[in-house]
Amino acid sequence: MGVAIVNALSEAGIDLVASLPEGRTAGLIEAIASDERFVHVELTREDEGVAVCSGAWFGGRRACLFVQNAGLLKSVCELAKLSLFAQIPLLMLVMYRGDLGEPHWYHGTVGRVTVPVLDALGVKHFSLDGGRDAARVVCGARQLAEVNGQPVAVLLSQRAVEAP
Amino acid sequence: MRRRAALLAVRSVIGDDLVVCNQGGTSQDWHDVRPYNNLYQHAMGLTTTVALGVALALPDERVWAFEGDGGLLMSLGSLGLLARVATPNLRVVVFDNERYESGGGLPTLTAGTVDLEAVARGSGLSSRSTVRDADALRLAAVELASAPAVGFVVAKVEPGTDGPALTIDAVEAKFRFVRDIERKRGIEVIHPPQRYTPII
Repeated sequence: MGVAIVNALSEAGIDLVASLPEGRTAGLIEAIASDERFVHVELTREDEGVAVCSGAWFGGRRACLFVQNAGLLKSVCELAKLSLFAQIPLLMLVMYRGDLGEPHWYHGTVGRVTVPVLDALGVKHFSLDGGRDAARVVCGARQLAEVNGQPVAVLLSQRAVEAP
Repeated sequence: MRRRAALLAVRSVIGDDLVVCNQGGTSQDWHDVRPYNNLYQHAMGLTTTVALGVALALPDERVWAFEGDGGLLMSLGSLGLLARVATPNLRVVVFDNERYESGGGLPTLTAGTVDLEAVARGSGLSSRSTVRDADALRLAAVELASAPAVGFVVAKVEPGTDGPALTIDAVEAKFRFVRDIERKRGIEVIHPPQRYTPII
């Protein structure tokens, strides 16, 4: 599961992943954690991940923050103060809960406000809805983040993380 | 002890090491003591975790986080994160004035019941202590500098800042720190040659 996404991260030059476990992506996170192409940092809060990834960027590593959209919303202030104000590149893989086919009511609000909040922040975001486009979208998002000195989000659908 | 006096006491121990420095008074005092190889980190609560990222990226560099009590109280989980990641090249010095000094001087929880050294112990950090004068801080810093593991010290300081106000904003702070690292390490961080193949 999610092999295309893991390989896409490596193709995009990512060598550090900071994550917080999430129901649908737990298997993907385990795959990243056991993959020696990546240093893996298990966070206690997602906003710490913005900091760890930004710090790693200063040292020349290329990091990815891998969180659920609830964690993205928790990190809004940190994105504003670190990534956006200081123009520090950041690639974010975001499991988009509360989207098409979501079975749990408690993801509803987060699902509704995720894209409007990203738009309000001026953070570019792209959808990944299957395994086939993983390399193009992840590499492209990382490059956009790097050349513009901005955070960029890749929103993962259920189909994207369940693809082989 | 005054924070600037404490920083003067550890100046020779820090040498040319990289420092991620908490916003406000700590940045002012430290910039006055050593104005290079520093990141002045203005997002409260993230100093230690930004330093963790730097330390992970540069395992051959000794990295110091100059944290504040208010900032660390915002992110106590980061202490457990440090213990778990256990990057051996990171040292954290908390300048604990028991106040939100930049926020009007009202007390933090360390003025009451919270003991950050005890929290660090409970988080699994083996190397930690609390010091109350400049000599003790210097000795603690010497020990931390040579220790083989992530280290943590709480330096109890008086409220108050002695260094002049900084005229460096977060954007300039970023560029200064990155260029210092590029020079020190002989690497390119900003707009490096592409290490990946974009797929059109």
